[in-house]
Amino acid sequence: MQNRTIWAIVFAMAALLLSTSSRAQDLVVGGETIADAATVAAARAEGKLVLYGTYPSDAMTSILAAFKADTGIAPDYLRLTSQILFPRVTSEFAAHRLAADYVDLTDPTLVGQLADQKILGAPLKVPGFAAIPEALRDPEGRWYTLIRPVGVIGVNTALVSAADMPKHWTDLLDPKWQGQIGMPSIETGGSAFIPFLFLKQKIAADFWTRLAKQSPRTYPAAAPTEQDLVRGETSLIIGSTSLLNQIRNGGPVSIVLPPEGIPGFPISGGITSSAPHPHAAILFMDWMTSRRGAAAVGETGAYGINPQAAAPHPSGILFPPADEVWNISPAEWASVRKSDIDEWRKDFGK
Amino acid sequence: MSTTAPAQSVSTRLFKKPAAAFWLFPALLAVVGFLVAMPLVTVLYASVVTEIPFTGLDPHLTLANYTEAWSPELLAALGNTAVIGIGGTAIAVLVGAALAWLYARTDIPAKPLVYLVGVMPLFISLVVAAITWTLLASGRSGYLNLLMAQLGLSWRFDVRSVGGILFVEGLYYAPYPFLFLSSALAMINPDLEEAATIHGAPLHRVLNRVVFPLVRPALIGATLLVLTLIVEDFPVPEILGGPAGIQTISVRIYNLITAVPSEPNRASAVSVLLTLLVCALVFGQRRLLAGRDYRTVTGKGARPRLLRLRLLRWPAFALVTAYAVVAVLLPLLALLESALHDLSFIRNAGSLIDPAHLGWARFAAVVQNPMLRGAAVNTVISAAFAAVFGTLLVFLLAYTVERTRIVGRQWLEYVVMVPSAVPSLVLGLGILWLWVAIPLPVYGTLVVLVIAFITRFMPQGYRAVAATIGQVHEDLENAALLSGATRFVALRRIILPLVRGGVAASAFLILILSFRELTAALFLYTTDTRVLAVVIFEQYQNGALGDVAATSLLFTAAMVVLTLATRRWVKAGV
Repeated sequence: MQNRTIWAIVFAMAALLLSTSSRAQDLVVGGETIADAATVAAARAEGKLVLYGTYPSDAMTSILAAFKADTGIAPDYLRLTSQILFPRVTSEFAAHRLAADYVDLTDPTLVGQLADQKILGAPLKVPGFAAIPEALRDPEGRWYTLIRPVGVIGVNTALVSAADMPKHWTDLLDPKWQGQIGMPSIETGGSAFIPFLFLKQKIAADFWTRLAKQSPRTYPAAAPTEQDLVRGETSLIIGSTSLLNQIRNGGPVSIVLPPEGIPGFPISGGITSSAPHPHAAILFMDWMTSRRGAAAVGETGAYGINPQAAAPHPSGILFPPADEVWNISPAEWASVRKSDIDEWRKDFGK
Repeated sequence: MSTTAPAQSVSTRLFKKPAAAFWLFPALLAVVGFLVAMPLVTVLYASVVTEIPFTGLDPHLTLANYTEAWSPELLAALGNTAVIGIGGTAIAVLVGAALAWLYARTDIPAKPLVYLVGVMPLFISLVVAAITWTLLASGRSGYLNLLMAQLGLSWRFDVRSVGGILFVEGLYYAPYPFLFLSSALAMINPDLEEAATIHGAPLHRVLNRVVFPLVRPALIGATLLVLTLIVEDFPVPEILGGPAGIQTISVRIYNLITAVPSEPNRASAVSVLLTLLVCALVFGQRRLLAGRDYRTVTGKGARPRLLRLRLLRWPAFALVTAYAVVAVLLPLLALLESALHDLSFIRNAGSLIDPAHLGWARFAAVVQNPMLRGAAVNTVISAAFAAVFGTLLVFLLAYTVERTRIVGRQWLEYVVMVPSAVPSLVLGLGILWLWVAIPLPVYGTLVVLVIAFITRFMPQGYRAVAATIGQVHEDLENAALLSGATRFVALRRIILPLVRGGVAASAFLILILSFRELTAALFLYTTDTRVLAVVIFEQYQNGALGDVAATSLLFTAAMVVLTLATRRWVKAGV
């Protein structure tokens, strides 16, 4: 190597060191140290962050606004459903054209495949790694369940009086709701499959055979299920906290969080091995796993990953503590997936 | 009209010369092959292996994707698909052909309006149309049903049924036959109609024996295309049929891909079967049209004359208005209601017009959304480029297939029709697999969206222009060639002006369809190349139906302005 090149590198490194030591500080928000100065400086030098994710864009936008306010970095967010995002990510990665620094999916099996294929191949142990429940993180830190919306009973309050309001999951089996219940079809993915497992394992083994007798309407996705509830075509639905949007938009909807527990839908993601902005991605992971990040997630009606964070209370609704949320491990998910989907299809004649 | 095969003429002999054939045909085959065949080959490959391409997993050869695809559910889906396909096509062709004839061949009043009615349903994407018809005519809270209740009537509409699906498909596919037939009808020499009338033939016989036989290529081409598109269509049966448990083949394929666990290989197998079906239909179409001569535009000058409807003028106009009300006005009013009303829950017909709940806030929010503005710019750029280059491509393709004797030119037509058979989700995957692997700086830019739109809408563009080219007699070109013009000059000065209607219809279709296209865009857009359809889809997924309505209305308004502004040029040469 020529002398001139060596000097240029030395000079550049010195300049970088000088600039970081003079400007950067640890990222501290509300007394919580979220990331160290070096990470913050390197992330700011990269200045950009690209996220490929599955959480609905308006909810994610509000989380990312809080991230920008704390760090000065405004991420680009590309939102797709898991079924389209997965082939996109694997194809882009195979062609060395993956633009994303971070990818998340709603299906733990597919997240596992991304890790196996070394796409999520930049393991990271965030501060507080040991305290995070094992079901919510990869042992090596390749992925974390950063966002968990939960399953709830959605009620149209224009049709259902306060006296009739369901309180427990088993209230859905009351014959007075015959033909008035809506729910997403099992093919929809996590938001249908997880309530299925939860209600079968935690509430009643024959819950679904009994629910099938209520002739519920099944919908191809979550959006039309919620839409028909708001329109008043159904009185109750098995839905998720995305119903909060309808409440904010003035829809006659309320959500019921039964005391027996609520199932969490894991949205898990991690840093890609080809991340063009690896430090910004680390800063993002540090921030999302902090109490501050979990609070921002909580505002959208989902649980963050930080075990010390307060339970979400969006729109004045107080959620139960995080340890009361029912979770399923990726291994169990994979083992029962096929047989349980077949069982659902049999119950509902699909 | 003669029924003998066209004699080999100067032009076809000219094209036998190696110089012309040698560059044009391989070049076209290469372009079309690259655009269509490569994604198709990827899909074909995916249908006989155990893993999807480029996932890094180890694929094994198998035929199980084909054998496992057959199930009782698939048979039921086949039945529904047949009923919806045939019923929907019948409505679309009947309505489209009637409108086209009234517009192109009669003195019906308010022609610009008739044209607008013919094309306007195109501005409403099928996703929005299906959502809108759900709001209008399903369940207790459908706006029309609220009105029925208010009037004390017991009848209720229900579009969430097989009948509802085929009705909506029929309404919104009618613009295809309208566009294809209005340009073909405009080119008929009025002397032929005149001769029949002078010899005492009543109107229905003139239509049956003279007019429709002459536009058979356009009519059959349109029927075939609409049938294929309805069979392949996914959003309407999914949105309307989903809650009622009605499945079609396209919904099965979509479910196979989007289900958890996803089964893209099995979906590929069903897509391959669907593609074979379409190839069989194209083959059937060629057989139906073979050996006949549809050239009616010859060197003999003909001044366009319009049939006088006399007493039927206004009743005919009333029919056009009725279609406009059902296909355009009602859905637009429903969208407006949904955009203006601040609540999604409407208790009764009275609260539909309760001023306390109506306001323009959503429009203001939508217009100020910077993401939407960026997406609008991307959409205009990509759709315009797709329209220009796509039309050029389909014109050359149609010219080659219809007007040359190059060996193997028929194969071009099969390849061109393939994208109409491959479900959009599968085609989207194929395009992604192909273009991400090509080491050109195309993937991740607007260029790849343009390429995807051209690929996807090649069949529609091709059909719009092919039939009109077949109507022009070669003698006109030959006269120019013999007078010393080059082939390019002959094309530009003789053919292009004559088939202007078909070319304009083709450009118009590709433009509008690219504007609306969602599925291909989902696989290919980036945060810098977001398009309008993606934004509308995100609004829908966020549960903001009012925003979807407001955005769709603004989009429709922009399209109407564009159509009226360019109508003079687009008006099919009438």
